[in-house]
Amino acid sequence: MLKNVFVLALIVVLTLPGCTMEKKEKEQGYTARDELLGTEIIINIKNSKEAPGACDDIFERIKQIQGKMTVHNIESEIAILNANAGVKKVSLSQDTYNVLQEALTLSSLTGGAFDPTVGPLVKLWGFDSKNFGVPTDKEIQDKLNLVDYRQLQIEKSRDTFMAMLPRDGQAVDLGGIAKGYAGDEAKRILLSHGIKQGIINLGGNIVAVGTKEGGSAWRVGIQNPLAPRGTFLGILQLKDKAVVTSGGYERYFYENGNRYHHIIDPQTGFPSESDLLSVTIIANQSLMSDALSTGVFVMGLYKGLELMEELEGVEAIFVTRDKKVFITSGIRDIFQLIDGDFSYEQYK
Amino acid sequence: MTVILVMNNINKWITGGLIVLAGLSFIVLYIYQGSQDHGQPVLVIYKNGALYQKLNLTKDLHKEFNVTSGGHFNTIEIKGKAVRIKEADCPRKICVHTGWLHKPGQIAVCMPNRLKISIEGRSDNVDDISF
Repeated sequence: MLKNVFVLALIVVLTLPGCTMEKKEKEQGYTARDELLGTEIIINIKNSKEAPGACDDIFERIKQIQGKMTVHNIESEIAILNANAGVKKVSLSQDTYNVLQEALTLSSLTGGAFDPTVGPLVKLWGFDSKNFGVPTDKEIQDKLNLVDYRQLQIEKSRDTFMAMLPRDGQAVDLGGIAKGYAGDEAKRILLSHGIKQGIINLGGNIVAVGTKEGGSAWRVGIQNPLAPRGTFLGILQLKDKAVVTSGGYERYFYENGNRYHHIIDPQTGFPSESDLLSVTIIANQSLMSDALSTGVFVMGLYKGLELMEELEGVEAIFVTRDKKVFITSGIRDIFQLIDGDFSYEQYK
Repeated sequence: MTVILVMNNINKWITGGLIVLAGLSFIVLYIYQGSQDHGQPVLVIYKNGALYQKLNLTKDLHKEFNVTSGGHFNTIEIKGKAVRIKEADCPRKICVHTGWLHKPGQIAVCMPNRLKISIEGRSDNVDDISF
């Protein structure tokens, strides 16, 4: 009799996986997408009553950010700031002020490798429009003189926020940071709706909110910079982190057989020619990941790695032109290299 | 005595039946997961942000066709289980330079023409990709 009870119990336990499988099937996720900030934004959260409203609020908020910070609309705050360069101070919303302030902090942290006043060069190369082309050296020198984040003045007093570009022709471009800010705002809105888990993809910038159902880490693939989009060279396991990857493979054009990518080095005026194919930054804030991925890509491997090891709470993955992968010490246990074409290297 | 014997026999039948049921449930589970894991790769085309076409990719599928939108075009070429955007009238041709897609999860995007193609099906287990 005892034996029979044991067998029965065993059978019950063995058949359990069948039941849990069905349950998993029913727990469908909720996905929302939209095209904003020049890219595709995809939100993946658990299906709930709150889900559609939260996603609508997020897209509405990102539209608002886009309206304030884009250079493609002459009525945006940044366009007005640029139009008044060398003329006068302009007033800003707190949003734009905050982003400019963060941008200046990160500019000085990267020694100007990230610089929001790179606008004139971005325009000259045509990366803000479809009229791209290689400028002459003279043109580059002229615009290079206008690029210097230390000249951008911002000030606040009580509830007024102002900024000014002191010289005619200077221009701010928040292309390397606005998406990051939007990611942080998207996360804040999810949490304010009581949604504590989800993953938001803003054109490749990933904001992993909380954990997966059941508490395990999100698995985020890191793009192989030499293969089509969607091919990853390794996997990061993350809880509550923002990941941004920058590389010359994202946007570029060809002229006379040469390839020119969109990450302009604010010190040379040319697309950055570092030893890197891509940099991935993992931080708590998506804004920080976004700006640092651009800045550190421009800084190159050695300077970049040193800065990343120094900074608290920030980790990085570097992929070099000779297919070596360097990672900071804090992610040894959560990053897994899976593409055999690439190999780990230690930097001393 | 006879009563106990009958009981034992009934128990045997019940136990046997339950073992068979358990076995069946495992077989069903195995087949179910198997069918998901080896799902055929599917080419999915999105136009203007919305699903436009789905095509099962089979070994001997050879095909070339245009997707047009707002007076612009992208030529899609399929060779067996590989797909690429062969030509396009967009300015930078990033979609063309992406080259052949041959694994589930891979994507080619033409932002100016608002076209996206991807191979869907079983891919390695990640929740998202940072690019």
